[in-house]
Amino acid sequence: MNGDFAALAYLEWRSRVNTLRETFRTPARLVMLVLGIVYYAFFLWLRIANARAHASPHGIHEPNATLVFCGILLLMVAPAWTGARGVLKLFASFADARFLICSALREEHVIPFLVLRNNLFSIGRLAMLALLYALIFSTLGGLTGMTFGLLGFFLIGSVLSPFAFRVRVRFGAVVAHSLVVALALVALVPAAAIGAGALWAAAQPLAHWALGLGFGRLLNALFAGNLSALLALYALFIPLALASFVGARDLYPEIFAASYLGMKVVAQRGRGRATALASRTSSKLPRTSLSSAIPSGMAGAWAILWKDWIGFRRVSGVQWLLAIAIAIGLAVGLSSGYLMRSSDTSAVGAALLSMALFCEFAVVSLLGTILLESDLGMPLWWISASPLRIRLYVWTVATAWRTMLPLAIGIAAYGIVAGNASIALLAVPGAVLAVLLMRSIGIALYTIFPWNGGAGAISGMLRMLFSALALAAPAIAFAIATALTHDSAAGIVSAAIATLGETMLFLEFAISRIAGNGVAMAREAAG
Amino acid sequence: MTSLSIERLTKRFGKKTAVDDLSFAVRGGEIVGLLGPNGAGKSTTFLTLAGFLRAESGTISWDGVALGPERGRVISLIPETPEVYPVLTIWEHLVFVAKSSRLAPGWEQKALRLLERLGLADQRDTLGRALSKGMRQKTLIAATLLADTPVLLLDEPMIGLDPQGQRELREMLLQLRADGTAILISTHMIEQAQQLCDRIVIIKEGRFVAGGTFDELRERVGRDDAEELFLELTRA
Repeated sequence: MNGDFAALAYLEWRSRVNTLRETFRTPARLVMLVLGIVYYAFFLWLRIANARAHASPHGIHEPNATLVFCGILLLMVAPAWTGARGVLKLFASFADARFLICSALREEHVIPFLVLRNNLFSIGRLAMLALLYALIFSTLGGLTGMTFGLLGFFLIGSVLSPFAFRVRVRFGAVVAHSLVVALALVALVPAAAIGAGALWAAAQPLAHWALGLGFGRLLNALFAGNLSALLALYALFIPLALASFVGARDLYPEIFAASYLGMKVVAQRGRGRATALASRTSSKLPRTSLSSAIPSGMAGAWAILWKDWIGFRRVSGVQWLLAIAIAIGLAVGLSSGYLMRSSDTSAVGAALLSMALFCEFAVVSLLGTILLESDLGMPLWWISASPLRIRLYVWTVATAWRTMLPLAIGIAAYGIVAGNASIALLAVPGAVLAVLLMRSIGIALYTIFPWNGGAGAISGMLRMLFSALALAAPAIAFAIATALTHDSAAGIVSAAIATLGETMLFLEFAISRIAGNGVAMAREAAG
Repeated sequence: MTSLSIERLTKRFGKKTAVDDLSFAVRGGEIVGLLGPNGAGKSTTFLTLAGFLRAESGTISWDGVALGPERGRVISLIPETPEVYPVLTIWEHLVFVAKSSRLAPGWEQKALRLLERLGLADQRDTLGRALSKGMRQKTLIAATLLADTPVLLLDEPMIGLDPQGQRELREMLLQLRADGTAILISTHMIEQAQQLCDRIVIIKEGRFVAGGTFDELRERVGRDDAEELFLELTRA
């Protein structure tokens, strides 16, 4: 047993040490690390200063506290759903699977290692995020309580995926999906009851029932740093974590398949892995007629849009993710709109609105990983008759529409419920411009740091930093145009033009980097 | 005699049957070639035998004992696409294999000899991400041979190797055969299979088509040329 853990510890230790060494030896990586640390430290300092100025921990009033609790539960549904669908990237790569499965290590030692590695890796990041959240929403509770409370929620969210996966393997997909739907209902039913109570007097008993569940009290107790509440939260995390891996045996084939569904470029490499993937996708497709395979007008670079569309249609997991993103966007938009319309537009409303926007941008848009290497590394990309510029522009649109949709729906729902027609009308163009700008920032950064196309950790911080900086140009354009014409419509048009201009600048920068260097970039990104 | 027995192995992906009621055996001290056209189910067979994929039915046994989920002590796989850990050096791969296989002290000498033979000794401190495809293949070969399992599965092992590497691998496989290792190898290079394999098993659409020595199959089909023989057997 000790020998197994010593071998696994050696694997992890050497991987971390070598990664760190590589970072210090590669100037671009080092710059990225320093920028990330500086960015985080700056915001931490800013938030601490701000938190001190506004510290008034009175807690969150009802029904908002219950709604916030339900919102947090709802956010946990997404990772749990991926686990229930059998998508769980425990093997980090095919090499990882090869060296661990074809080894003398005992499976019940390897699986806990995989789960812990998967979760512990993100704990540092989650702790940093929890601290920032605690500071951002410092008016809602105490710093210690909020930090540990939010971290507890994050931890439970991170372990729900392997837990749901194991339930799926042990009891079947129906039980796993039912469990996740039950979790969603625990959040949605009280939230809907509160919403119904606010709209119809007849439904107020339902709202009282929802408030009586104690979700709001629990949240306030957690954020106030109540030791019993915090212990209860962590007491829930521990059995969930243990149930996700203890005694796990004979799971390698399922974990291998689940990891390959979770891996980025599975379809591009290796027939064996593609075969494994085929078990979960529609392997038997209707025969397409050669003449009608690509719709007319979709020739040249537009074929990229068509390729993305058929990929979307064939992978049901992606369709489900979009459906969940739309549901979350709608729920967040409706609740934010409701709060803005209500009399309570104090700190809680503002905080919830910030949280809603963060969820929309960070979860849906910012976390959209740039996977350009899967195209740049393909000969098909380079033999296209269309110029690189057009291809990259189309690629940006093709990979952005799934983010635009939930964002537009969320903003429109917010505008309608809040009674703000302008916001409702601007939802679609606003979402399109915002997502295109953020994707272009991601692509530009990807061409500098291709090995870190994700939006997590430092790469994510940099994307957030550039996104924040990029807001300056549209804001200035809006202010100048509005001041000159005394017409906010002119300001909005100017801001839109400035956003589009910035998007093009970022994309042009990316094109200049990719031209002549794309294949090397793809190789570097693929590791 | 010890042997790897595959009996009535079936692996399906949804409605598609990739491996269909496949049975054959590989004896210790024997090299068997698994041949078949593209999409015949060779890689799926390898991944199922190594425990990466779960078979719908069938048994895999070594020395008469059915193998369970943990078969890493018995079976080692060199997959078709050679992938190694990008942030481990070649030597660290070998250290990990030695630790995980609990090799006896002195394994370092064997590891060094393997690296010498494969031409990797100078590159032992190079990270996996900096290795060419051929060098990654050699790293996997070294790691697999170091683990010293009684069964070796090699999926298209010659692809990506330079002529020197191919020769070294051939010699190593012959040595392992002499030492009693059961070796199952898939290849599209018919001539190479002819040189290296004691027997071949031909599959198509996951099903067993023919098996035996080249001479037996020649006699059965009436073709002298190995390539023609293969095409004839897989044409139907």
